[in-house]
Amino acid sequence: MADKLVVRLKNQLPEVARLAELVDRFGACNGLAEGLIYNVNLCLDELITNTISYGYDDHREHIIAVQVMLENCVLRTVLEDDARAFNPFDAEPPNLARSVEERAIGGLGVHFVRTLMDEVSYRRTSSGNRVELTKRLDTGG
Amino acid sequence: MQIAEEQLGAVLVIAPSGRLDSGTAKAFEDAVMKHFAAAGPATVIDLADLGYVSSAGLRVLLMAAKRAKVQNRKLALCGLSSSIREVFEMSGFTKLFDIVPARAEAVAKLG
Repeated sequence: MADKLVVRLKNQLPEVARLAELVDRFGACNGLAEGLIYNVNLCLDELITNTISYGYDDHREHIIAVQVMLENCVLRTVLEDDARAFNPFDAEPPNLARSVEERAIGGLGVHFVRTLMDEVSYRRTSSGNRVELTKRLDTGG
Repeated sequence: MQIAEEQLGAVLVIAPSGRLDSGTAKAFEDAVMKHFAAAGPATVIDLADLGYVSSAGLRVLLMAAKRAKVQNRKLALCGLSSSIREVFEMSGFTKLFDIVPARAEAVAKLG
C-alpha cells in the first residue's frame, strides 16, 4: 500500500468506523505501532464526529476528505470539509480535576487531539475548514 | 458493538465488545442506563473485549458513574487495554473510577 491514504467520507457517523478500518490497514502496511494507530483514529474520530454532529445547517449529504500521509518519519493528517466555519482549537480545555458529580464531558475530544499530536493547525479556506495534524514518529507513540 | 451481561453472585457484569464510538454510544447508553434507572446491584463494566473507545463512550461511563454516586452503589471498571488506559488518563478518568485489572478481581472486590 502507498504511504498515503486518501478517503472521502459522507457526513454520517458510521463512516468513522469505516475510516478506522482503512487507517488500521494503512498503519499495519507501514509498520506503525498499534498505539499510534489507535491515537490517530481517536483524533480523526473526535474531529469528524464534531463536524458531522454540529457542522451542517442542512440535512444534505456532504463530503469530508481525509488524507493520512507518512513523510520522513512524520505522520501528517489533513481533514477538509465544507461545514460551517469552526476552529476546534478555539475551545477551552476541559477541567480534568473535577469530581464525578461536577465533571462535564465537553471538550475532551479536542483535548485528546492537542495532547496526542505534536502540531495542530486550522485554516478557513474558500471551500470550508481545513485541519492539519502532525505527529513525529520518533517521539515514542 | 455487542454488549454481554452476566450476573455473578451479587455483582452485575456488563461487557461491551468492539468499538464504542459516536456511532455506537447510543446503544451502549441504552444498555447501561437501563440498569442505572433505579438502585441496583454492584456493577462491573468489563472493557477487556473493547477494542476502541472515544469521548462518546466516556460520556456514557461518566453518566453511569454519576448515577452510581447518587444511588450509593458500587461501580468498578476492569480489563482496560493500554490504549484505552491512555484515553482514561488523558481524560482524568482514572481518578473518577475504581479501576481493577481483571474481572475476577473486580467481582471479588465488589461482591
